[in-house]
Amino acid sequence: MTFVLVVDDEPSIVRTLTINLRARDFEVESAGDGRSALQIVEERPPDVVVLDLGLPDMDGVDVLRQIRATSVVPVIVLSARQDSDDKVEALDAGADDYVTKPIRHGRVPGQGAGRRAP
Amino acid sequence: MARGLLRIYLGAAPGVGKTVAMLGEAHRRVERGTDVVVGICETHGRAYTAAQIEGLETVPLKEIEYRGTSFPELDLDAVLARAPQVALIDELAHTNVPGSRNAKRWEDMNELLDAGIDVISTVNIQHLESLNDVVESITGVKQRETVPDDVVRAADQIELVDMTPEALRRRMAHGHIYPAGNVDAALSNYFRPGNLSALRELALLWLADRVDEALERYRQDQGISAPWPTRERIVVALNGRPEGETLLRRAAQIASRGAGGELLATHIAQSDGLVGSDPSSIAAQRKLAVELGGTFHSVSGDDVAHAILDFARGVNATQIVLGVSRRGRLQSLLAPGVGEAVVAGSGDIDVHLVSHDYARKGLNKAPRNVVGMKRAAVGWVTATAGPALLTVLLVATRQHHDLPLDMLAFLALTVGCALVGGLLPALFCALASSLALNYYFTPPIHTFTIEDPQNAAALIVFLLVAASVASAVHLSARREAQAVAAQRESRILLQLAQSLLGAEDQLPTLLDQARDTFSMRAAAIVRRDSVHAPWTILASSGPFDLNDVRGASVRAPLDDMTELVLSGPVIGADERRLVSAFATHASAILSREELAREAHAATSLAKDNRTRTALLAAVSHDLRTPLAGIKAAVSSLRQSDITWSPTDEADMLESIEESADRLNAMVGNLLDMSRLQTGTVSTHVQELHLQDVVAASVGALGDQGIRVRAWFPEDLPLFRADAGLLDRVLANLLENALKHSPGRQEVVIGGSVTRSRIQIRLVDRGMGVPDALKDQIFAPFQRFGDAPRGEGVGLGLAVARGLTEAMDGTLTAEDTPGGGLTMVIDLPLASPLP
Repeated sequence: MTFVLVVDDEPSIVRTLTINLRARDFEVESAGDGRSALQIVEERPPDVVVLDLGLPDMDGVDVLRQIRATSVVPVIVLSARQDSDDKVEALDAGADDYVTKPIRHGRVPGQGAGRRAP
Repeated sequence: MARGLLRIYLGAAPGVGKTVAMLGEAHRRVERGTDVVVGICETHGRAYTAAQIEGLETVPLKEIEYRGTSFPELDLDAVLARAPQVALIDELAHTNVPGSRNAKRWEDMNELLDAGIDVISTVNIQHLESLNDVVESITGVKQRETVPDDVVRAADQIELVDMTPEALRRRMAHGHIYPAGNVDAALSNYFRPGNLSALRELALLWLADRVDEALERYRQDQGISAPWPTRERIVVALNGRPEGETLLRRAAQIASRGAGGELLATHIAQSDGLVGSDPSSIAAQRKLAVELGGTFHSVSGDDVAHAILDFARGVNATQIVLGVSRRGRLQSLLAPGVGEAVVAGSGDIDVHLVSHDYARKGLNKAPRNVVGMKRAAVGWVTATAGPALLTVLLVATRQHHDLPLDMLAFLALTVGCALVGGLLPALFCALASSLALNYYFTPPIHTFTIEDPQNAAALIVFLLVAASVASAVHLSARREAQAVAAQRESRILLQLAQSLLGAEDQLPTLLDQARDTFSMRAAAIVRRDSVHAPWTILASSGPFDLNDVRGASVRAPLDDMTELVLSGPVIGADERRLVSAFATHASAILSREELAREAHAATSLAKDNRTRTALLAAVSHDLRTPLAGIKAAVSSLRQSDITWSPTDEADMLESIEESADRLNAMVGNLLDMSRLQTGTVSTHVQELHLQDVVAASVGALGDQGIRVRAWFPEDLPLFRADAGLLDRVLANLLENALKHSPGRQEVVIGGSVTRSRIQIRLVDRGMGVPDALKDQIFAPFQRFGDAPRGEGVGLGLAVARGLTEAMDGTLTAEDTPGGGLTMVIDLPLASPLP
């Protein structure tokens, strides 16, 4: 089963994503801040990471860079930041996709990722 | 046996390093070969302190049993038996456990001193008996352990162990003073920066006082009575006339020449009235003195020179600055001026006579007609008609009396004339009388020649006596009139000052007072933008119309464009001086009001701009986050390719509801913020008990409520706040504290009181906020660390502070000792503690 790590500090988003992904037979774990996300990545490498940029303890882009230092796991950035600067920065740091909140119907992250995952 | 020497390390608060300083000295003395033992040393579990004891000989403590527990105490007998040269006795204020020989440790210390043993000890400023009340009012903590001031004062040496409040709090936060686990809300309350600064100042003052005492003692011992020129103290004598300004500036220059020179301006008010002094120029000079860094004093005395010298000696002045006399050379010849008298009596105080524009220009002429027009007229009639009538009467009865009675009769007439009409009519009367006496009563009669030289001499004496009596009578009348006027003046000014003090709206109060004082129909302050522009009324009292300005009976300028206008009866010249005092007051009020207005406008303008930018950012980003949650859940529910289980459906609906709630809360905060910024928050202040308030706020938290622990005494007094607003403040702060507390960490609500305020403290053990950002977190739409969060638009703290301030309170952030952030809400108590 494909293992998805959802990193977001917004409980309602995490809950909705989790329900959606589980309904599509993904295994989901969530982290509310950058530090615990990195810990999970280290302990049990996920197949896909859905990453919010606004985290309480560190910036999502930094989390992304640290993941990229050790792993090539697909990372989809999910953020309310809509500026192109933010998108470029995240993609430069190694993001595979950049989805802005709110999420439109049919673009729930994880669907595409599921297909791309090995 | 000679009594031992006592050296005390004095500290402003626990943890400044007294014990370490004491131990350091012990080590140094041991190295020099002195026999030092540690009698008792409280390490308070501080490892660094404990390490300092090593290498020193320690007299073992004595275990004293009390109610089944044993307490280690100083073993006084063992130290006495050991008889070292020096004993270390820590914490002088300590109370021995019952069963010890002495009730207090300082009594133990006295025994050691009596036995000829030198003692090094420590004490904290808050333990000094005389400061107990002060310390309690500062910290809200009553000190149970105290030491009499005399014991500490009697020390041969006192050394202040000083540390800045910031450094001390850093030490505390790092756990150097108490183990982090023991630091609770109450302790952190005691260690707040305001407290520490106040305690430190107290320690410095107390010590400075003792230094003065020591200096005084030395001077007495050495028989030194001359001033001790530790630093220049310059007394400048002012008489309330305009030259005072020159004197003040000159004196300030002299004061600034030496290091730390002190300027004392002294106005000498003569007790027979404020002759020649102008209340408004005294007020201006008072202001100038303070601006120049000096102090202003008023002294009254008839003998000006004497009063100046007395004051100067009293304050231990080193120099006196005086103005060169206004008196002309002739006047100076007749009587020595104040300057000469001061120089003659100054002894070892230097005197500077400063020249000024008014020197030798003469005094202001005192008003001439002190008796009033009517009395003067009667006086002149008496002076002209009186001698004529008296002559007729005396000529008719000439055979019954001779010259002496005639002279006395005319003298009586002259005195009466002086009493009624003042000096000039009396002098005229004296002259007329002497002519009449010469012509009608001194042989040869009906000529202006006098036969008998004795009669000629008598006539001259008559003229002199009449003139001097007239002038004496006139002088006393003038003095009396001045005294009455001065008394009235000062009473009116005092009344004015008092009514202005209590007044909310000062200008109308001043105008009311002006109307009463001068019996005016109306009074107003008017202003115009240029000489040709029309007047506008800034404030008025009574039926005042702008057309009245032109015909007003009194117009006193406040500045180029503003005037105090009184309409009503015409007033006398001496009252005009009072009017100018009113004008000075009015101008001060106006400039104060203007400054306050400008400051307010500037800050609100800047705030508006910052807020608008931040609001855009917040709406574009933060409000979108809960919307994103709603949108994601709704679009998931609408998807047709998946059939949701009832649990999933319920979960997503709950998600929607939660996000909607949070949006609602955010919009609520936005509205509060805009109400705060437009100043339309209305408060309904009532008397509240902290317990009730906290219970309501914690109840509203639901499940999260179990993470909040109330930790304050039940008998806290009532305080004043708006229950609804305070609930919103607490809700915002609790949400913030819970969010930033890792895991399931508790948030503690503490409460403590000082004399007139209550402090409610919300203590979290989260990551804390660096000092530099502690005030920034209260700015709207600011968040620490630039880490956008799902919740709050960064408005919670701004709203909390705004609402607290609307209730006459303050909201500040400080470090939780051991890590974390503590929010302190400070509100007024319902009634100050006795």
